[in-house]
Amino acid sequence: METDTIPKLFARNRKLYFERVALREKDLGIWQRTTWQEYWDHVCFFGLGLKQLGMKKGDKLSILGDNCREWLYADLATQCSSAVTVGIYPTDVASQVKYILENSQSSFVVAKDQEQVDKVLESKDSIPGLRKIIVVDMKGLRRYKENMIISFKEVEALGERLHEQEPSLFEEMVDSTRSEDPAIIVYTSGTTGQPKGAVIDHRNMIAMIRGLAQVLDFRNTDSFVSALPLCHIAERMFSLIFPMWAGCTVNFAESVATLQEDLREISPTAFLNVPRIWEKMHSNVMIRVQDSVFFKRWIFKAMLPIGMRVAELERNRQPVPPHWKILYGLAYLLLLRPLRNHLGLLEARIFVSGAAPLSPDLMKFYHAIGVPVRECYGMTEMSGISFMPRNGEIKIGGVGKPIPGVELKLAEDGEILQRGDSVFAGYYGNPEATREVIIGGWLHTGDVGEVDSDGDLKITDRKKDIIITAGGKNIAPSELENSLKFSPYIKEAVVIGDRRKYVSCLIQIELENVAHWAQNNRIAYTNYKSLATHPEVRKLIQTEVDKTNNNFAQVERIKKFTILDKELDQDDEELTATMKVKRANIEKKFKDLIESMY
Amino acid sequence: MELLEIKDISLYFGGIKALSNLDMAVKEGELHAVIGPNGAGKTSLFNCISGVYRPTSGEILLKDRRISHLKPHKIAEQGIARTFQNIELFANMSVIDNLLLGCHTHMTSGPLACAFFLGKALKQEEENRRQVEKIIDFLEIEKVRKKTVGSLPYGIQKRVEIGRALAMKPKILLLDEPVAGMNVEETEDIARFVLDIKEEMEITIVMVEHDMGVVMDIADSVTVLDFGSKISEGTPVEVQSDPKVISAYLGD
Repeated sequence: METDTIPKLFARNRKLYFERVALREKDLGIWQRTTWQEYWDHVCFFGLGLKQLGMKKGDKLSILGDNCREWLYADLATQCSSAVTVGIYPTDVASQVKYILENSQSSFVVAKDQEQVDKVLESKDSIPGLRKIIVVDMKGLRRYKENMIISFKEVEALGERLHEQEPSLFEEMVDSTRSEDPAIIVYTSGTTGQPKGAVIDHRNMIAMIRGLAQVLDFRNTDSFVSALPLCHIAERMFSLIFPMWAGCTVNFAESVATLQEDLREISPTAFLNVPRIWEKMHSNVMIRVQDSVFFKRWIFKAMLPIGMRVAELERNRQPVPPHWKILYGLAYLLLLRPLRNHLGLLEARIFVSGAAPLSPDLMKFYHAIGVPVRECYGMTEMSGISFMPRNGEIKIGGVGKPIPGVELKLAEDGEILQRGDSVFAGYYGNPEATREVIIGGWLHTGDVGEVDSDGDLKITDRKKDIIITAGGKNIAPSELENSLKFSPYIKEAVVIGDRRKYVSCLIQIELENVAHWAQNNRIAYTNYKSLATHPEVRKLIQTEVDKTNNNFAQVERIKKFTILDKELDQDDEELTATMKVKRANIEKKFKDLIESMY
Repeated sequence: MELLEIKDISLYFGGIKALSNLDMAVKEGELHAVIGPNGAGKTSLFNCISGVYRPTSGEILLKDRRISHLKPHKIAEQGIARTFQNIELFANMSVIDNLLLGCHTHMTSGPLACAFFLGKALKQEEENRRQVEKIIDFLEIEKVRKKTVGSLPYGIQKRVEIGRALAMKPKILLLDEPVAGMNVEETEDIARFVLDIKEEMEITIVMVEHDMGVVMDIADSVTVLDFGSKISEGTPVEVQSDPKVISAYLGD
């Protein structure tokens, strides 16, 4: 059988790996395993159950909820039925859920729990096409008198009965999936305006994974921990597409709150995350070090520079002198190994950061502790990753070369254009938007970059974010912002300065770490607001801003900054579901604050 | 059907009347709130039900069996579990251990078997742990399961205490001010848990609470006490409009 669709790969894996563990989920304190055969059975029963409920080719099924095994069952069952899966962020509020359900014309919704069901029920009257709400966890739903609601288990039971009558039906359904049919719709986080649904077909996904597999060597012994929301294309890649391609194991944490501990227990072999999490892990380490006893602090101070030095030599592809090797061995035993173990990164060999630029200092830190994190470049519209540094070619600030199958061209204004089989099929129900980004077969990314002498791509920034000051100087705000966010006390920074005399900045403090600092310095506060407006905190942030300013040219330096007295929130339309700031909204919302700095 | 009946009980401390000639009935499967101003005798009533105090006169029946003469641990075995107004957990023990302790009333193996973890003890211990994990999952306290209770924030401790009561597999759960001192979000969480306990676990709940919002939202029936005697009872709406209740709360 030709494996040109995800369901066909799944059928192959089930035969190939059979009794091997495909998924693990921590439930009641114990890691529960699901073998490939059980995985297949669940998907088969759920898929046939959907057929019983009337799902037809091309129908849409939305999934709303935190990552869990059922998320993948529903996703695969839908794809096996030649229908289309739409992922919705579990953190989305009811109005956003309604928009996506309407826009995608979903006829089925899989909701994880009561919280998500409530969001769907709020808007069900305005979505006439909606037929069933399938609920994974029925806790608290007993009183609901809504005949649209059916439990996940009931659907599986429906499918099991059909399977007994027609045992070969599901395999026929899998065989009839075609590579040019749409498989998933991924709603882009939408830093500007309403999210758009990018339609990705099987051919796109297979092209992307075929290319990427030549760069990152995935094996069937690899394991991932599902950490980002599954509706995001990056997590879809790691939890669905890679395991289907190479037979890796996917682990689901017990709850969002226990992710860090579960990560340590699993110690995955590959780890992909967004810069926000890499920053958080780093600042946790720094705070813990400050709190530890003198001897431990001394070890950290003495050993980390050894790691830094060796990592730098390796990055520059220079030989490491023997005495440095010995020192590194010592540092490894005393600091690096325990630290990596603490972070749950001891077994890992593939580390990827994506979705937003990672600060160079952060990258140096991780390289120093023996975690060779590499930055990739990808987007929903490229079905995931399209640029990835090759082994041994990892650079600070570079995203490497395109994966096999992707062509790169820089437009005259520096915009990155890409072409290849992994370029998405188009925005759902929005051909104008599609025509705006795919021109003559080239995908216009909206990002500006440059190619260095080795042929590696370096991303400058989003095209529309580039600041041109009143003095005519071009500044990439993300460089400044990332440098600021490297500080454990700064959570979010928004640099402002377009057509203005100088650069200014809005800063959100990291509550946990600043509160800790305040306690150590005997500063009284009650809540976020009282902490953020405290003059001592302003002094603390001022020193952090000064540190950043020292690394930048005179015109780029931040002259003034304001600490926001509220935390940025997705519900207030200030952040996207992946915790990226919505720049335009913030500039509008805090207009008065910004004006007061000029 | 009445699950818990309180018949004409009075409680005196010397010359002070804490409860006088109180009658109250709790139906199976309902959420019954007991409200009243400070010093009205709500906690005394709870202490009588759970056997901490023995009523001076009158009797308390659980499923038509008299329990008012029993010792507290016997009453707990009969299926009455409670939480306290001020948290009474073992602060230096982990969350899991505190919850396992709740299962202890139902352990039937002897001290020797327990000491060497043999046969029945092992089996029961495993079963208890499974039970505890289900409660942890139910109350969403996975993150803190191995932490010592003393290091946890107040709101979470309160949840652990409810968890310990649930571990006793009670028929009736007595909650003494479950949302006192909590912010809006924590209060909403607890209210949701209390409703889920009633509906998913089918446990009858008697709750003392000062937060009228919570009482009016989730209680099925309400008994109002003032100076040790009942001044009103009925559904939340009926009680709310009773002039005697209004004057008890606001003064004449």
